Amino acid sequence: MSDASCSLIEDTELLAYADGELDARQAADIRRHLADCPECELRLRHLRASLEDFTWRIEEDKRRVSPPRPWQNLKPEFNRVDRELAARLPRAAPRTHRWLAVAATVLVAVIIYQFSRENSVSAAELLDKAAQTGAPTEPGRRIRMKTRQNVFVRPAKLTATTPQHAANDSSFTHIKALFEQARFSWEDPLSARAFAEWRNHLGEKSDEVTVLGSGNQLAERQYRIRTTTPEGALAEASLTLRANDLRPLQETLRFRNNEWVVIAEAEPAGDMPSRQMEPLPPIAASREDISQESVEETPAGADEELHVIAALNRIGADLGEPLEVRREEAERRILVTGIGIDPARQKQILGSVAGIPGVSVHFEDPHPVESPPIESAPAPVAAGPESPLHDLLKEKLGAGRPAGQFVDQVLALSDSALSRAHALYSLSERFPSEIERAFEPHDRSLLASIRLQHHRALLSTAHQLERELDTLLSGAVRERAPPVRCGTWQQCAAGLLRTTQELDETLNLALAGTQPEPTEQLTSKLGETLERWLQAVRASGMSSP
Amino acid sequence: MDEARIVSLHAQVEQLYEDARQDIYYYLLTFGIDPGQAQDLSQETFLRLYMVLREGQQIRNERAWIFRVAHNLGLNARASQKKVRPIGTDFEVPLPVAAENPERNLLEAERRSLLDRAIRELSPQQRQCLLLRVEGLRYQEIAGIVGISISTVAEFLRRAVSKLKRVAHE
Repeated sequence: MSDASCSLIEDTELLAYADGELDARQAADIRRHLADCPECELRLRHLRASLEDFTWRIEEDKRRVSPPRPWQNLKPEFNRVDRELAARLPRAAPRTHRWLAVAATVLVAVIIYQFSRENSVSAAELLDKAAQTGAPTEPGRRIRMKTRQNVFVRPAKLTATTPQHAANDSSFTHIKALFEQARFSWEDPLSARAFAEWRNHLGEKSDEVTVLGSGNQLAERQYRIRTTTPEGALAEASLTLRANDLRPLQETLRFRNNEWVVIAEAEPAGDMPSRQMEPLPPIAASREDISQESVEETPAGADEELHVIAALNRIGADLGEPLEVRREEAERRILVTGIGIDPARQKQILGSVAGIPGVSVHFEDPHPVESPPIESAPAPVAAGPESPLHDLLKEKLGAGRPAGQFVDQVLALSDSALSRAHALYSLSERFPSEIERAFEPHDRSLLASIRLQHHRALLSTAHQLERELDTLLSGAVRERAPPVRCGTWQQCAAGLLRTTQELDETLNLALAGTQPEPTEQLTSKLGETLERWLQAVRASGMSSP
Repeated sequence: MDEARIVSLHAQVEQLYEDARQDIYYYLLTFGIDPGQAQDLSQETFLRLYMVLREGQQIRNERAWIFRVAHNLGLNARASQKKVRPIGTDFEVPLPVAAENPERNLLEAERRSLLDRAIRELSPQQRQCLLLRVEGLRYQEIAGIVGISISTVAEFLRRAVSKLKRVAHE
C-alpha cells in the first residue's frame, strides 16, 4: 500500500480507518501509506475534523431539545408487566395477551398524541382560547399600524370616550373604510377576538397554523394563524400569538385591492401620561421615512435579500454551495458568508452582488491549501448481489449496461432533485406569501423566475428519473397519484421537499439496501412513491395567487 | 424468573433508560414525527426491552437493540402520520452567542450556521447513519438498524462527510 498512489485510497476506506472498522492488516496498510503520504494524511485530518464538528453540533443540539413532558417513571410499568406475567405464566397464557397490553399502551399514547396534535393545529380553538386568555388589558397599550403610505401609532383599543380627531385625516379614513368593508374590528384590531369575528363570518376559508421558533422555553415560541379567503375585501390575515400566554404580537392584513396593513405592538407607553391616550395624528411620512421603517419589519427589506439571492442564482451559487445569506435587521444589511470557497469563485461571488445596496460579503478559508472537494461523480455504491432488486435489474437491463452504472445514475439524479427541492424550500421560507405579495411587481417576477428555474430543472430531472425507472418498473402496475393541492407555492415547496426525501430514501433502500422485502413489494412501493413525487414536482410550478 | 433477577432487571433497564432515553428521543425526532409522540415512543422502546428481557431472551448489545426498535417504531409512526414535517427542519434556531468576544463569536455563529445548513441538506439515511455513528455504534450494527448493507453504511457516511467537509475547520 505504501507504494500505492493516493488515488487508490478512497474516502470510504479512510473513514473506515478513522472509525476503527478495518481489520488489523488493512489498518496497518493504511497506517504505512499515511506515514509516506502527506496528502492522504491531510485528507484524513479533514475527515476527522468534519466528524468532530458534526459530533459536537449533535451533542449541543441534543442538550437543547428537551422533550415536551417530564420523563415518565417506568417502574410502575415494569411492575404491571411483572404482575401480568405472574398471573399468566402458570396458565401458560397465549403470548398475544402481552402484546395486547403493549398495543393498549401504544393506543393510549396515540390518542394522547392525536389529541394534542388536533389542539395544536386548530385555528378556531387557538383563537377562542386566545380571545379568552390572551387579551392584553393594560390601559396604555398602543399599536403601530403601517400601511403602504403611512405609519400610525394609536391606542390598541378605541372606546366611545377616546378622542377621534385623527379620524378626519383622509389616509386614516381610507384604511378605516377598508376595515369596515372587510368587517374587521377597527376598534381593537390587534386581538384574537377581532380576528375570530372576521374569520367566523366567512363561508369559504382556509387556515394554517404554524409554530415559529423551537426554543425550549414556551416564551420563545409563537403561533401564527393565517386565514385566506376568496370572500370579502380582506383576502388574507395572519395573526402571531406568543405561545406561553397567547398574547397577540403582530398581525398582517392583506386586502383584495392590494393594500396591506401591518399591525404590531408599539413600544410601551410607560413614559406617556395616561391622559394623552388619544390617537396620534397620522405621520405624513416622507418616502425616506417609510424606507427607514421598512428595514425594521416586514414586508420590506426582503427585496434586497431577494436581489442577493437572484444574483447568486445567476452564477449558480444557490445550490448547495457553502454560502449563507442572512438579513441582519438591526444592522440593516444583508450578510453573505462563505467558507472554504476558492479565490476565483470568491471574485465571481463578489462581482455578482456588487451594486446591491447594504450587502456585506465575508469569506473565511478554513483550508487554504486545499481546493474544495467537488464530487464530480459519486463513487459506485454497493449494487452487487446485495441489492434487493439485483436480479430484476440484471433481467431488465440486459448485458449492455452494468447494474452499478444504473444505480449510480439514478442515485445521482435523486441527489440533484434533493438539492433543487431544498433550494425551493429555502426560497419559500425566506419569502413567505405575505412578503411576496408586498413586493413590487418586478420583484415578484424576479422571485417567480428563480423558483420557476428550479421547477424546470426539477421537471427535467423528473423526466430523466422516470425514464430510468421505467426500465425497472415496466410491467409493474402503476397508479397515477392524485394531483397535489396546496394553497401557495410556498406550501407546495414543503410538501415537495418531504416527498423528495421519501423518494430518495425508497430509492436508496431498494437499490442499495438489503431489505428482505419481496421484489414485487419493493417495485410497487417505488412506483407509488415515484408517482406521488411526480405530482409534487408538477405542483411546485404553480403560479402565485 | 426469581425475585432477585427481576429486581436486577429493573435496575438494569432503569439505568439504561436514564442514560440513553435522550439519545433515543433525539434519534426518533429525525423521523420528522411530533416531539410528544417521539417521547412516547422512546418510553415504549425501553418498556419493550424490559418485556423481552423478562421473557428470558439474551441481548448481546442492548444499545444497538434499542436503536433498532426505536428505528422501527419511528418508521411506523411516520408511515401512519398524515402530515409529516419535512425531515431536517431543526437546526434552525441559532444558539445564543456568549458575549466575551463578540467578533470571534460572530464567526463561530456563522460557521455553525453553515454547518447546520450542511446537516439539514443530508439525506435522511445519511443523517441517521452519522447520528448512529456518533452514538458509538459499529457499521454492522448501523446496517442492522437501518436495514442496509455494511458497504452502503460506509457509502452513506462517505457522502455525508463529504458534504460536511466543506465547512469543517481544523
